[in-house]
Amino acid sequence: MDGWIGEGQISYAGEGAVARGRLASAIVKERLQLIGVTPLELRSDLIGLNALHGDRGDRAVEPYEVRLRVAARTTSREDAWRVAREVESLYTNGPAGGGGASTSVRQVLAMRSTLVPRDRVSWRVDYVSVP
Amino acid sequence: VTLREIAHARTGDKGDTCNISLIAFDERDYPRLLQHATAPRVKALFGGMVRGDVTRYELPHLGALNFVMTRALGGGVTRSLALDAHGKSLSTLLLDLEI
Repeated sequence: MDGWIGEGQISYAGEGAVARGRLASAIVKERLQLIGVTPLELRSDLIGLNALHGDRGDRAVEPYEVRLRVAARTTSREDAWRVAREVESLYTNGPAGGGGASTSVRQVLAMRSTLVPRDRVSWRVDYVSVP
Repeated sequence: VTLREIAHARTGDKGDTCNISLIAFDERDYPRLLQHATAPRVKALFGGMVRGDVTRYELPHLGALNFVMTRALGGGVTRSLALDAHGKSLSTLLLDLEI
């Protein structure tokens, strides 16, 4: 097990959508500090602008709408939910016109590539002739 | 002109390592891939998205290159916070390289 990931999303559209998305992101980060949530890692994207190729997308023409996505890895499930809820709270405590909020929390399963001694692997091959 | 005019690409992932194949539509363009799509240029293109090394493997018999990028996927699919945790969209960034 490798902690929890809490995620929240909310959309902004129209004039100033990108600016409102950025402000909303800053508000969530400040709120998390105020309530004492310190994630192991936190990531904030504006889907439609910089979620896939990072800052490179920021050079593009401003989109009509953006979707803020804040995701954070935390040690506890409760803190993961706090991250998600702070995004949802933007409905009534954030920039104007935020809509379509969603939240999710999931547990992180750790994976590790490794090698096993050859003699611990048993195998066999069957040849079957088909007329 | 960018790479997308003469090649296509596809991304794979294994742990925190991303690999992107770059395949010339026409094998005669393979030398242009060799000339322009160098490992340092690709590393510069991806900037902070690749925290490790970029290694280029040459496959002249296929008219293709394979780029292997370490520490490139936010720790790997299971723990990455990225929307595109597999990095499947990174192939289109490679195709944006100016040639």
